[in-house]
Amino acid sequence: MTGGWAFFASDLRLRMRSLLWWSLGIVALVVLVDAFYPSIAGDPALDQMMSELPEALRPLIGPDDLTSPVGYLASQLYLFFLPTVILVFGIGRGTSAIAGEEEDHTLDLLLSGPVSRTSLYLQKVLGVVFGIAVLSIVSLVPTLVLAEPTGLDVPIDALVSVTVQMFAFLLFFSMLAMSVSASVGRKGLGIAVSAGIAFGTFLIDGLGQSIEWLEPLRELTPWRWYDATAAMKEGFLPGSLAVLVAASVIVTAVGLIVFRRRNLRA
Amino acid sequence: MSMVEAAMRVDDLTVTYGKARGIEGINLEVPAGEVTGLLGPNGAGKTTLLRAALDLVHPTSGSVRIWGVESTDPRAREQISYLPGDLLLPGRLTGWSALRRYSAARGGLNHERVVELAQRLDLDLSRPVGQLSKGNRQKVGLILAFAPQSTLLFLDEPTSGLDPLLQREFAALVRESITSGAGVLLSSHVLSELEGLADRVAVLRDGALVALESITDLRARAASMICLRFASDEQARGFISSVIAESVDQQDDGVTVNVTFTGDVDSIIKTAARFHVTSLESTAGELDDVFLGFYTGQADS
Repeated sequence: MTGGWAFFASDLRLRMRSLLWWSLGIVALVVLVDAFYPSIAGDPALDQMMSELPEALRPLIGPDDLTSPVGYLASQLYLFFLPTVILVFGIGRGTSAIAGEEEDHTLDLLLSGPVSRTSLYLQKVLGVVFGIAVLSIVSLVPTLVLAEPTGLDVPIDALVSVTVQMFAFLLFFSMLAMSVSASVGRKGLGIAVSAGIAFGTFLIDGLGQSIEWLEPLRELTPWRWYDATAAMKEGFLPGSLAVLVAASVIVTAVGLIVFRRRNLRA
Repeated sequence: MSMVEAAMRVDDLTVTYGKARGIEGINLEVPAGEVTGLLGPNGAGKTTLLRAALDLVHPTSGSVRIWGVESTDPRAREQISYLPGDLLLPGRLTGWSALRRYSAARGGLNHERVVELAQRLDLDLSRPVGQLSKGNRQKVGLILAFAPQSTLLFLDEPTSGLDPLLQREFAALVRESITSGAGVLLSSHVLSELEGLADRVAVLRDGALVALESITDLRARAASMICLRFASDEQARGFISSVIAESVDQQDDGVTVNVTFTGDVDSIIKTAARFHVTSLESTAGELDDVFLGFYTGQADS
């Protein structure tokens, strides 16, 4: 087929500036979190406070040792804050990829050339994956650079490991958003479904750690397989990674099948 | 089978989807080297037919072939240029980047050809599309459609927003395309957009093809009017009682009579010749009236 990866390249040019701004934003955000560390490091009062929290709430906040470098980064950055911010980007890109073009009435023109829907869809997938990969990698940089002045001397392996895990987690929700929205041609539904599931499963995962009857449901939550604290403390988690990647591939494939078969809206 | 392969062949095509009315049982050939007009009110199924040929909506039954290739095969679209009826381009893109983005699937456009067309249409391609007037945005679409020199062109309401000078340039581009052997499918909801360009006109109503005729044949069906003035009231009344026509209308002054007719004027002139006619004026039939007839379903009678 002519054209090759032309849409991927075209989208990249179209969105390069916005990706740059997002990157700067992520850097600023991580710098801010890192810069706050010296003021709480070695303050036992925080850990004390944590241990006094109700059992049920504790897992929602993070590991027990909030004041160690790993504990601090895991709880303040990787557990919820950073993935949630990048998720806003991923869900936005995912839903814009196909459904956004359809709502803007530009999808017809893209597909009126000699390109298959499969090729367009996969190129759009690649564009979304590229975006969240760039932001994930960029998010590593401040903590590495600021290790010395902030005292966040975390092994680089731990940072890479949690970033890879976070990327796989972001991949799942971004692809879910893309798949759902491309299946119906509406951004709104993709946003609602993926954001709703992300928030709902966050609660299930957190509360499931202390509420017994919720425990079995934890296995179904992407947050359980993300597991930022374990990724930082234990290194790569190949099993969890495989679960997240496999789930991403499945939702992506389902979206493609439906997108290929349906009638596009004029 | 005709000797010349049709650029596009639509066989018993039915598209139904959702609550929206689709198209039903359409048979149509778009010959190479000809302009086929596609006429119908909004919602008659013109755009659906084009979008089915582009595989944007799938046939419920029947098929569309582009130069013999099934429309569901992406290769069929290598030959097609499409100008959507409601062309929307990302406003941030300049003309150049819009052209690059929307020709990416066919590997880009010939630079000299684009420059030549931009000059002919008087368009500045370095400006962001969002800052262009509707007419200028349409020009970007025209370049996108005419630059690749495709052998099948789908032009959906192409001259909306174009001033008369540009409409002439557009007509020239269409003629060049058919001279080089392309088939053109030109859709519109007004006949005047097709007149002078289309060789044949396919009329759609409620998703069905209700007529496929040459413009000449259609014109013959258009009702003409003749206005006669007689020397006196009696003369006028005498004429009215003996003439046979679609409608005969005596004006308030008593001596002026308007006669509407289709076909030959001969019998009306011969009847009028038996009376004292002081003046005679005739108006050619409006083709659009024929179409209003199709739209409201009265033309077949």
